[in-house]
Amino acid sequence: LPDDQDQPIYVSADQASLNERTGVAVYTGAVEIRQGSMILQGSRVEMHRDGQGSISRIITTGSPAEFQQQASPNQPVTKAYGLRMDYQVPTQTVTITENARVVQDADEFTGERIVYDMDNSIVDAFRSEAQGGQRVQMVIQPKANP
Amino acid sequence: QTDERLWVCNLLPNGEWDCEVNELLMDAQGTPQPALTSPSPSATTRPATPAAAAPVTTAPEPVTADTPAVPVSSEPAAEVQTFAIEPPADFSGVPATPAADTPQVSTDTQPHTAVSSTRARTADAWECTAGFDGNWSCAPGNAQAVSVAQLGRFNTPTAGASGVLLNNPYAYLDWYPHTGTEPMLCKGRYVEPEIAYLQSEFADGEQPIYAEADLSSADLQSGLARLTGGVKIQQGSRLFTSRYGEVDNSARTAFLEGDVTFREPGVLLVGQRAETDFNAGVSSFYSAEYVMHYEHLRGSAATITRYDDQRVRLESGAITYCEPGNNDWSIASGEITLHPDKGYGVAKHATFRIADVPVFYMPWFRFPIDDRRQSGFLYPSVGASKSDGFDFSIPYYFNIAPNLDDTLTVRYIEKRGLLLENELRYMNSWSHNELSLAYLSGDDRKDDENRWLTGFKHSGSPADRWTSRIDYTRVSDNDYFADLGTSLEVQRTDHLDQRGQLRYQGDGWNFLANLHQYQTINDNLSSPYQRTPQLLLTGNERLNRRASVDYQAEYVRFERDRKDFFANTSDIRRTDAQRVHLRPTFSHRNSRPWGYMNGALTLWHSSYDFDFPEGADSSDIPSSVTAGIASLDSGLYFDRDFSFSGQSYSQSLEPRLMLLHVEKDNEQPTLSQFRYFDSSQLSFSYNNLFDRYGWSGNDRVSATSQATIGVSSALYDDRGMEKARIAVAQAHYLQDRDGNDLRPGDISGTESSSNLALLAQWNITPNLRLRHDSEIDRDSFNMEEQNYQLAWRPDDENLFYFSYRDRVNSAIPSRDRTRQSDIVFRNQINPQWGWIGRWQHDIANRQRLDTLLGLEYGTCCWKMRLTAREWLSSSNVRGSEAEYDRGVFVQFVLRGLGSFGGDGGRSLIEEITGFREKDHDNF
Amino acid sequence: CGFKLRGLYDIPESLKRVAIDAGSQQDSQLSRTLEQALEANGVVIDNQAPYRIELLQQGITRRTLSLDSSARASEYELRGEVTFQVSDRDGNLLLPERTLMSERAYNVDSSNITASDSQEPILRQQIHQDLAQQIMRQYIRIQMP
Repeated sequence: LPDDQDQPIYVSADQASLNERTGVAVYTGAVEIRQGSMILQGSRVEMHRDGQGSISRIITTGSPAEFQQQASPNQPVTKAYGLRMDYQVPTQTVTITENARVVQDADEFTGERIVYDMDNSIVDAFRSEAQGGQRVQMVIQPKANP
Repeated sequence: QTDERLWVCNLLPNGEWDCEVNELLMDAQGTPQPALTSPSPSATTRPATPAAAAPVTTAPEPVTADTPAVPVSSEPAAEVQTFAIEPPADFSGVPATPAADTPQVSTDTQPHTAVSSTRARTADAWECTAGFDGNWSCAPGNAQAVSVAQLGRFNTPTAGASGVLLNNPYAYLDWYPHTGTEPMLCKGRYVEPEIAYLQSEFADGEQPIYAEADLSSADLQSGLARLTGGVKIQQGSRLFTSRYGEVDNSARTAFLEGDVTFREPGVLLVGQRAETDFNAGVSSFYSAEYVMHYEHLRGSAATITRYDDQRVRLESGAITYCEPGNNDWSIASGEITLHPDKGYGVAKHATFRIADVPVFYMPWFRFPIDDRRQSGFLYPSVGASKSDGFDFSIPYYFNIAPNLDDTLTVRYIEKRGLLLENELRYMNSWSHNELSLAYLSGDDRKDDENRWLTGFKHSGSPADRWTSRIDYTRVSDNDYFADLGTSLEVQRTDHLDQRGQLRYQGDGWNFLANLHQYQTINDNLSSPYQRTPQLLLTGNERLNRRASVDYQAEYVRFERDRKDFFANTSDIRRTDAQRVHLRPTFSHRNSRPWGYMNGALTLWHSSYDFDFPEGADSSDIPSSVTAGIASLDSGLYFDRDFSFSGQSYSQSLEPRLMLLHVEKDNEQPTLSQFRYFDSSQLSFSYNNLFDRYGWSGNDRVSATSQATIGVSSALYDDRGMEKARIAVAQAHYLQDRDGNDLRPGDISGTESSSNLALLAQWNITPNLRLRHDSEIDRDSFNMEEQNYQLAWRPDDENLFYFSYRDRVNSAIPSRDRTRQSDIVFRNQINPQWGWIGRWQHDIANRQRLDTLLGLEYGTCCWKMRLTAREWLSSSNVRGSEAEYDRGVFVQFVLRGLGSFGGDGGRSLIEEITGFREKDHDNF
Repeated sequence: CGFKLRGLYDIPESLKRVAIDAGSQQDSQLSRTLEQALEANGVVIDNQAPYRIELLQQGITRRTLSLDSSARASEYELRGEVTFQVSDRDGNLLLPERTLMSERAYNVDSSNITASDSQEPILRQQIHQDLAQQIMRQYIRIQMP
């Protein structure tokens, strides 16, 4: 939701470790991060903080890692899956790589790398660089005719 | 030296590349891996009008291997759990966030400059990629570490021949040149690539849409997704491909641009831009081309719209059956609608063009797409003659039901009037029927007489064991065919059959009831005897393995049309009669592998109830004739095997002796008194010398006491196929024959032996056959009659036929001799050019009978035949001699549309040589 | 000169029984004549036999062979043609498809075609006899695979 950013962030994980020098907190083992309607799940999460101590970036990896968010009240929930998710908080963009998959209301986007712009709810998908690698795929389910 | 090349690339049908890299060479040379980068397709805003779209820059068609980007120095990473490199200082870190107001995506979203995609070759397969946003992210490599960049095969379907594709300009239409060497009529063919269409029981409209691309950008709110690079959109059995596409998820529509192709089983559409509405199933293509592979049909138009019910509409376009690159003929029209499911198309305001030159205009033109029967206008024919003036006819075909159709032909003849011809065909489970009718009211050139024709043909089996046949034709007057000709399927002989038959097939016997009349439309001929009716019972009863009884019992009422030209009342030949004929035969067959001996005893009896014309001298004409026939037919079989030039043959020697004795109780009427109703003297031949009666029909039999000796020898190959046969026979008479019932070959009937009948056949090769039969004078041994027939037919398209006949017509009293030669050839010089010819010559009267020369030129989508013919045609007018008819015929065959114009006697060639000419209308 | 009386052909045992399949023209004159020709050479006609002679196409057509001085037919030719093959129950071929032809000509009196046309039944029987003999000879020479 638009006001997700102002919500507090809850984190639950098996272990957590903080690297004082770099300020990067690392959580491992069934990690789940909630902020408003946004949910991030994965087996390992790195949380980076900017100079002022606010979270600037969350890197989640898992097999697969999951992301869920509702862009606006009337919009269905958008879910995303991928082996690795790089959530840039300032730009409100999540970069999902390796078997990235975004699902919204039964429509589905897959690709090697997907960038989800949460503010404008825009999903950019990219094919893999290697030849013969996975291409971007979309599946649009038949809807009851309006 | 192909193996020296690093890679081999083939351009594929759908414009993609299929490259094979030579791995060994690559490693051996250790050249830096060429990293294939795909230059960034700058996403374009959704253009208001298609024209204004900024050209989408995409990877140029043949993907060139760019100069390898300098690989980022990738020092082997130490065993570090997390390893992140701070973004380079100069990067502002926050890419320009797109203006969020309008749904338009900013023109330059995240330029995708994947600088390099080299995977660092690290021991434990860490993978670090430089993200577009300048951040480095390294993650533990997934399980199957992707080996160093490998120039693999693009995962595009490969189809079609390789190699020669490079200079094939029409590969985009699925048109591939033949790689064979021998010349073909068409230089190539449509090849539809195998596409894995998604089968499902739902209609295409309700199936999910699968889209695929190199890059996509979707706005989840508006539901608009932009796809770039190798776009593929598939729904059910429809597949779109293009370089760029926009899919509106909520409205379920799509806009495609750049090498747009649309495929459906059997159909291909290619265009620059296209829009499609997945719900309504309607797709429109702009400046597009259309191909139906199987039907060999293609079209191009400013706009081609494909509707959900498979209809295809081409606006201001043209269609043709010619292959790509050949516009010999086409149909251009403001609006063409194709109905592939119904098998026809309709063009409105159409102009028929030859080599892009409009030739004639058709307000409304319907044409077949496949060979299903369609109701509709058939092709008109136009002619002119000085006797009848302008002659135009247009047929219309009604496909009423699968077993019922009708063809109505309206024909306007300037100097005669309007002739309507109608042919109704009806089939049901047990019969096949054809009704032909024609009517011309008030023929201006025949003092306003009404002229008509009726024809009815039927064959069927009304009940178990019963078969019925009707063949009835009647015309209003004798000159009907001469003046009007006909397009109907009716026989056009001098004597029109009006015949009805009913037959019952019992076990070992059958009964025939037959009514057979004629309408003679030739004043020079008297009408033949009609059987009104004929009842015939024939049967065979097996007494035991060797003996059997055959019987024949017939009642016939013979009538002759008395108004004929020999109208002087007392002419004996106008006699009518009822006749009863009985012919029981007891035969005993005794056959062994080495020979046979068949005895047969026949009682032959005909009794008449004459109805002589008044005043005819019929005093001494017997009212019945009875004959006893005894025959003993025996023969031996000898064989010997031998081999000749490596082939093993077997030759047979078959001597044959037939003893025949026929006693008759009554003199038959002399020829001058009265000839016969349905008997004709058998012509002189090897087989007829062994005939027990000497005559056909049931009026006459030769009283004789004779022995016919024959010897026949045949050559068989090891498969038992007859290679050659020669046979000679002669009859030796112990008594004279009656002047009225001569045996075959008899002249006076007092000869003590017949001439020699020679028969020779030689299958020189399976395609070259020689036939000969002749009558050799018993004393001088020169040939009284000799006939030769040579037929050479290597394949369906070439044939040579020669016939020479020097013979006497023993069926007519005048026994005039005819010597005629007939030469027919058909030669397909090459797939384009072919010619046919016929030269029938009456040597005795030094007169051409039929001379024909035809030339045929064909291309992949049309054929033209020019035939010139001069033939002697018998005249119907009393007393006038036959005179020559001459004609030049032009026929066009347009692939897919059928043929126009007269075939100028080609069907005659088939009739002459008996060889069904290859279906000359297919390509 | 090497000729000797013909012995019974040693027809392979399985070919001693054969069915004749002439499709719609099952009891045509050619089929019956072929049956007699085969029986005369020790082959039994049996519809349940493992092999069958299929008469794929058979027919006799008539055409004008020569004309008289006023361009009317003076001689007709009857051309008999049969296409046959020998196959077993499940369709593999023992004898590939072959076409045989036989012709007979007869004189015509165009002023009395009732009489001329009555020659046809006699010539049709001769043509069928000829074709039946040829089929029979090829059948009994089949070498079992």
